Amino acid sequence: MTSTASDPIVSVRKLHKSFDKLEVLKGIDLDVRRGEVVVVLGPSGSGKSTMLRCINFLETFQSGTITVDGRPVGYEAGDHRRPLGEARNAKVREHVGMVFQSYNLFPHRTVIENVMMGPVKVKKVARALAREKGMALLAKVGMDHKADAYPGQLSGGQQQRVAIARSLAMEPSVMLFDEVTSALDPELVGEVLKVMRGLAQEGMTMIVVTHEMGFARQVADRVVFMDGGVIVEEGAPGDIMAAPKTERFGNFLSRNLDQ
Amino acid sequence: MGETLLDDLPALLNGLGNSLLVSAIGITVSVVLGIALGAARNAGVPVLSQAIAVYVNVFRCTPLLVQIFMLYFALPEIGIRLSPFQTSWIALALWGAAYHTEIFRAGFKAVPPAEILAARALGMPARRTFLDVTLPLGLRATIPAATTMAIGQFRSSSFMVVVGYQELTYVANGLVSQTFRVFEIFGMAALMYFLTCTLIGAASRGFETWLRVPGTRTAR
Ligand SMILES: Nc1ncnc2c1ncn2[C@@H]1O[C@H](COP(=O)(O)OP(=O)(O)OP(=O)(O)O)[C@@H](O)[C@H]1O
Ligand SMILES: [Mg+2]
Repeated sequence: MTSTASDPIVSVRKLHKSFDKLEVLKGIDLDVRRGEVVVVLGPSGSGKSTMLRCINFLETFQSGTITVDGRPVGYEAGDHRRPLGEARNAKVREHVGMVFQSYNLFPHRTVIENVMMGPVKVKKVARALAREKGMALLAKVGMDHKADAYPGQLSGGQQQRVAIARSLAMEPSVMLFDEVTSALDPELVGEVLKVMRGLAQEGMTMIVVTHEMGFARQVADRVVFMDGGVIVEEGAPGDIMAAPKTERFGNFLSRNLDQ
Repeated sequence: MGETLLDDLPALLNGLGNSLLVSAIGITVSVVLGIALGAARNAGVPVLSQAIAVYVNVFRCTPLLVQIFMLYFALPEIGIRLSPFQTSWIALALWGAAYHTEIFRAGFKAVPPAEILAARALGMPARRTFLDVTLPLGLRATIPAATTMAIGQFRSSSFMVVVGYQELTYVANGLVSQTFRVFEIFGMAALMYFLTCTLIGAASRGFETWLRVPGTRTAR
């Protein structure tokens, strides 16, 4: 792994986001370096999903800046804050993989077609090459035996692994995971976490929103605790999860201890 | 015209052929228009969206017969002269497209936002997302409603009797006035309408089955 540890892949500065009058993000600053795994913890409604969705501009935001791989997200860099426009937003999203709680596979496409969709339709990769790379990714997530099945024929855990492969097919600079195991039966959670662990070991840059405390403790390079739209506390899991500095994080941890 | 129904059959079949011809053109044009206008409405394209809403309302809230009269008798006053054939398919297309627009708009709207979000997250621009996700998923959901409308359009081709287009009802009416075998001839025409509509319905269900995505079928 050639991790040039200092250059941030994702850089969030003074991010403010409101839904009408409700301010959901109240000044978020976050840098994620190449190869880093950042786990975001926080109670429901604290703005974790909203922050992730701002990073690939699935949500607009009122102020602050975000860059991915040095590219501005959503708005022109500089003072003018002009919206970038559809084409450039799409371009930025190519570099940001996102996996959702509800998998969101394309139900009318087979597993391999789902994985090929991004490369073929967005990057204009030749179908044969996309298929070959797609099959390799499916093998990696243990789903190559279901390449020709439709999403509706798979279990939740299997669908989620395919969804991860679909995102990886775009060869993103960073992967965002939004509670990707929360919709799964407990016995299926492990197979998805295993895939994510593998990615982390290969040096994939990841921002992971999860309630899986074990995963945070074992895989995260850094844990970020959000509450009420701000980052309350952050640090290495070994430090802050063992000895939280704030009462809010301490309470959160004790409430979620059993997990 | 002849002594038995058998002698009238060729004329009736010819009328049916003409009905099918204007219906096929009218339905095809209206479905294509309906998809395009429904997509524009669903996307909320400014100005265009409002213009489409007005169009839909006008054609949905006036009788087809009046629309036919407008095309055939009123347009010549501003110098646009349409033949009975042109009037027939254009009327079916414009009237039908108003309904198809609403049918497809509802279909596109019903596509789960999660699927669309996933496409956007992959870096697919809005137009690509529409073509590869919204359209194929939305179309599947609209087949039954669009078929019902298409059947309605075919049946309504009988209205073209008023402009003298030689479709099935026109032919049957002519034969009846010459032979006075009312029951047989209108009965035969009705049967032809009925069988054609039944065939359209069956074809549509076949199409639906063919497009059905494995794994999404509900238990029988
Ligand atoms: N589209 C929206 N419109 C209005 N309010 C929204 C919208 N999306 C989220 N919110 C609000 O923003 C706040 C933050 O939501 P968000 O989904 O980011 O929380 P979260 O930390 O991901 O919570 P959870 O753990 O339950 O997923 C909540 O109060 C929520 O009600
Ligand atoms: Mg959330």
